[in-house]
Amino acid sequence: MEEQYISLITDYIDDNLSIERKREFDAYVVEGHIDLNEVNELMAFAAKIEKSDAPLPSAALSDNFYTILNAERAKTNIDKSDWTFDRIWQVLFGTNGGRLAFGMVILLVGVVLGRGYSGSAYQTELKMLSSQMSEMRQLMSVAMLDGDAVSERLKGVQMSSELVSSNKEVTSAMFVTLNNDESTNVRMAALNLLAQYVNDPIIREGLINSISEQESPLMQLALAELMVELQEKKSVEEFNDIIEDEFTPEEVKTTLRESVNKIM
Amino acid sequence: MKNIKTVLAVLTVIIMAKPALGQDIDVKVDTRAFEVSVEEIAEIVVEDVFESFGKEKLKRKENGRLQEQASQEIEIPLSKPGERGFLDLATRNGRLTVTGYDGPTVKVKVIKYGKKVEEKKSQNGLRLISNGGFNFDASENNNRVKIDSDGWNTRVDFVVQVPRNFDLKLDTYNNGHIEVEDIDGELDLESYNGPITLVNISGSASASTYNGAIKATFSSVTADVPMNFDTYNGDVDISVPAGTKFNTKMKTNRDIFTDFESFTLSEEQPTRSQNGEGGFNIKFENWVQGNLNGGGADVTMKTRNGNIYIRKN
Repeated sequence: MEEQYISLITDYIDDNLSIERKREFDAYVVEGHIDLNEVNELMAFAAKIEKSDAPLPSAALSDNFYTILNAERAKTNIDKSDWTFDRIWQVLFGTNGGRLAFGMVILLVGVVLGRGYSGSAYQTELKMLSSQMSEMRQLMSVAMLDGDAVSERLKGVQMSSELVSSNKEVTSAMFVTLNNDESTNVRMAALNLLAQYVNDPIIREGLINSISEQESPLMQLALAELMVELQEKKSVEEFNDIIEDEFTPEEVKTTLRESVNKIM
Repeated sequence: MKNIKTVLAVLTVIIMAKPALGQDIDVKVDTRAFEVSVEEIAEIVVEDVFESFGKEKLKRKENGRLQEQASQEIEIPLSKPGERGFLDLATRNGRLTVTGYDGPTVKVKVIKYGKKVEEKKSQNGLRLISNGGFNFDASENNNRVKIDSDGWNTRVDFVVQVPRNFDLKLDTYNNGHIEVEDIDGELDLESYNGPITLVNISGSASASTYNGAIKATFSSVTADVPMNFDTYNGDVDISVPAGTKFNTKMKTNRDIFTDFESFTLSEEQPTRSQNGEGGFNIKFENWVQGNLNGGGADVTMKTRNGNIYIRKN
């Protein structure tokens, strides 16, 4: 059955056709466009529908509906965040303006984070690496300062050169070498190194205290030379002790006296 | 099972052999045992003037008189002949000469200087019959030879021959010319009044003195071993093979010379160090830094009144 005839057929079934439309209808039936049998069947079906009762919702159904509705309301109240998230989602991605704003914000946060944190993360890693390196160097140089061979201990001094002053362990190991190493050459190397950091008050103090620890005239005189350069008055008393010592060779005493006079 | 037996056998042999390896020689030398010979003092004076760098007139007074020379030779066998040895020789007054040779033992010649024992009575009616005893100790343990002499007043020279592969630690003070020749090892030398002269050294050396030049000629230098040369009055003069690599740190009030073309001076860098309060300490020192053939271990050369020479041999 073709669609163009539907309105004719429904009007026919409802018995609403005007005289002209009735004639038109009849013409279509004669021409075979409308199958009368089919129309009659439809008419019978419509009559059947009209005759049957419309089912009414029971009271229980209505109750059920409201309980379910209330339950659902309660649930949505609890999951408010869900609701807000959905809402934000809607605002952000539901409109072009929202999407643009969202993009801008992400970009801004990215830039800020990138500048503020990623640089420092790189630096932290670098710092960690370099601290590990210096820890290794520290262990190695302290071990070498303790070695049997002079060459090994001299290597230890050389290795410590970058760590002294900034690393307390290495600095104190260097003072142990300066005051106790059995080789004057190793002591001298330690002194040459430590003398570069006389502006560090701890090192300066250590060097002054080292004067009385030195037995070799070479070390005593090297320290005297340094103290004259620094004009370190605290050292005078230490040198006077050496000058008064009966075992100090006369010529060393003379040179030390000259140095002490230069400090005063 | 068989392996364990072998190991046990070897261990037993080692344990039994150990006491035999270590030995101690204690030598007490008495002056009376010495053969006495008299030498012209002029020779000694000339020698002393040459070996020290002025400033020493004080002690020359006693050399104005004739001196006695007494000498004694001892031979110290090594527990492990052929293996690397170590000589620790310390004195207060006297010249030290150590030479490498192709023998298995350490030969020590001790020369004592003193006033002449007088034949005639002096003005006060007394005659000198002994000029102050001296003694020295020598010991050997596990190829480590130790010789000590601690008289300040009597000059005692040591002339030592050691196998070539020996490490040396030599200390002296007055009349302290140190001479080392033909040694393949590590040298640690200290004097005060006297120059230090090293010839044909293979290995590394560090030397400190006060009055006297330091002159060292190396036939080869151990790579990556720092060296330290320090004097006050005198030149520091180092000769090394052409290809030797090291960094130099030099300090003198006078001049520095070299014939190496491949010697590069680096800019003087102020030392920057972080101090406890988060600031920086800056120290500008008048060290001249440079490197030879691209650089290597640190070689420190320091003098006040003297030149520094770095030569290729």
